[in-house]
Amino acid sequence: MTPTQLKRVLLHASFELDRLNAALNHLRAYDFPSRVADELIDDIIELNREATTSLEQIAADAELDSVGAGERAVAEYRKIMSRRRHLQVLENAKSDDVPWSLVPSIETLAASILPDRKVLITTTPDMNYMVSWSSDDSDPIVTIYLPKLHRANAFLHVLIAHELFHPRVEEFVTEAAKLVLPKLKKKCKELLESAEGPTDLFSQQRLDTLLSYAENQWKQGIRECMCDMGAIALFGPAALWTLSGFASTQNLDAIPNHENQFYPPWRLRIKRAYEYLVECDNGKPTIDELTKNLVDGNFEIHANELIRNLEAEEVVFKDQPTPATSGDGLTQIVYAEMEEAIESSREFIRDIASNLEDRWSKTASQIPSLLGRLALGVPPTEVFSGDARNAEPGSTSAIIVTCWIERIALEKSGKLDLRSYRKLCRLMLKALEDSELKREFSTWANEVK
Amino acid sequence: MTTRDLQKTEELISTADFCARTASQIRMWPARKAIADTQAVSKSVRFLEDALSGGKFVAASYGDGIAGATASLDPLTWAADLKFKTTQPATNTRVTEAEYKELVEFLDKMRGTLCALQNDQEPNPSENDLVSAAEFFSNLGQIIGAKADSAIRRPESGSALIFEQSSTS
Repeated sequence: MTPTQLKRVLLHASFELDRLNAALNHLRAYDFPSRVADELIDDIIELNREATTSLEQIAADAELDSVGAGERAVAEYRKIMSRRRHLQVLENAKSDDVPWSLVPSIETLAASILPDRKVLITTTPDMNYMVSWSSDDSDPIVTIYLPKLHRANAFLHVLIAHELFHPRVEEFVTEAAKLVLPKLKKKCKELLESAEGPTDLFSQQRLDTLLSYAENQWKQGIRECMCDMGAIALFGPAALWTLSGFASTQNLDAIPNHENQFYPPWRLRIKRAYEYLVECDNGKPTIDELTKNLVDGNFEIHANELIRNLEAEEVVFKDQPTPATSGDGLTQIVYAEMEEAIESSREFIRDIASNLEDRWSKTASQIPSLLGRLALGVPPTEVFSGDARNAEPGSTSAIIVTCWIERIALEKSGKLDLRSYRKLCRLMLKALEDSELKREFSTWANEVK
Repeated sequence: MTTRDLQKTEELISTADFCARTASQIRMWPARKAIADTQAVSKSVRFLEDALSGGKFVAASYGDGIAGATASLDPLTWAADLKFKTTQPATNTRVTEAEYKELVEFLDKMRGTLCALQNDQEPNPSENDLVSAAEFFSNLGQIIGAKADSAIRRPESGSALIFEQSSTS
């Protein structure tokens, strides 16, 4: 890079920083549902301050190392450019853009799953839920993205639980991968040395790239299944039905590859989620007890639909081939190894879940009472036990499962259309907001006493 | 865009950055005899250690294999992309175990050079070693930077939308 070019790059970067800071300060004027947005703005402005210092240092070093100055300037500019996405994140995190009534509940959930982190909720034009976080401990903000068009689709937001588990499962995925690598290496070597060679990968012929491909496939497979399990641990059947509903818009059997970032096929994910639901954390006994309580509470249709809709999920994967049995070459190898890690991955999630007091298996007893509120057309906010003044606020998990059970009962009776669905979404969001407010008030009231 | 896209992009940007900074520190060392950007050099040493760990694992004959102790094979594959492309233009050519061992030795030498600079060890690295290390990190930074650039500039990464918003102000 010539000295003239370097000066132009430095000026361009300085201009970008100046505009970025102006845009961030403009965003401060908006209303956000929590303080985390302001903290993110402060963090980025601080990073921009450091970038300004770096650019000055680069200019000073140019005489001694003109080549390095150019490369550093480009790298610094790249970092500045990557911070642009925060403008969109913040723009879409305003109270008007997110389901703001849900934010306090999500923050409470996040505090138990990610105790050292702060959560920022934003929206994305993509039909997707995503999460981003820094592996740097000094940056505690976790950003959750919801699909913008589905802001009011309360049932879909159950998928936030899946996203919250992503930062937690990384430690397991990283350590477990080290144990599986020797086995994958052996298989990859055999594949390379075989007459046919690997058939499913862009002619990868280097052992390191083939192994890296296998490693990424394994990690992504186990990672996504574990986050699904985390969502199930929190929201039980509601999470299963939400995952399944989301999956129903996609190919259930897409083979994981580079183009789809190695996401495991949905059919397998539903299988793993279902197995966690019925086999872990008292799942089956909880379902049985809930069914009985619903019948006792004169919610027989709801009880029947609970069982029927769980059985319907089992049909999705029962007796169906999995990637371990039907995938191509390397995928079969990788997914066979994944099967070996399933039990330890479930244990990891169980350990985290055991500390989540709001998980569905602990709160399912609230559901019949909350269903009673929905039957009256009011938000299922509180659990009444005779004394209205001391009614207990419904837990987040119980409210969500309650609304799902009402939904499937409406589906059965043919009464679920777009209008009634949107109404149910509003009732769910209202209940989540009100119950959170009541909990906060109760905590404050006890402290004041 | 997916969760993995977001995480991967950040990793690429950060790696390209500390590679460029490290290369510059190495080039300036003969004049300054000190490392000012210790953060970048530390990250580069860790990168090399991960690449070495991966390289030793891949290079070892089956049966003598060292269980992969690295969090990811990416540092190895990136370093191998660079090393083998300079000696083997075609990326779909087989790489022998001997060549992997050569890569491991090369990475070990790079690490030795960086640690010597980092710890101000005597004797100082030779001029050839410094040129070799600077070139390695410079080229690595460019390869990884190119990957980061294509990730940042994809329409679904959001930068296109942001540009549209910013252009009205």
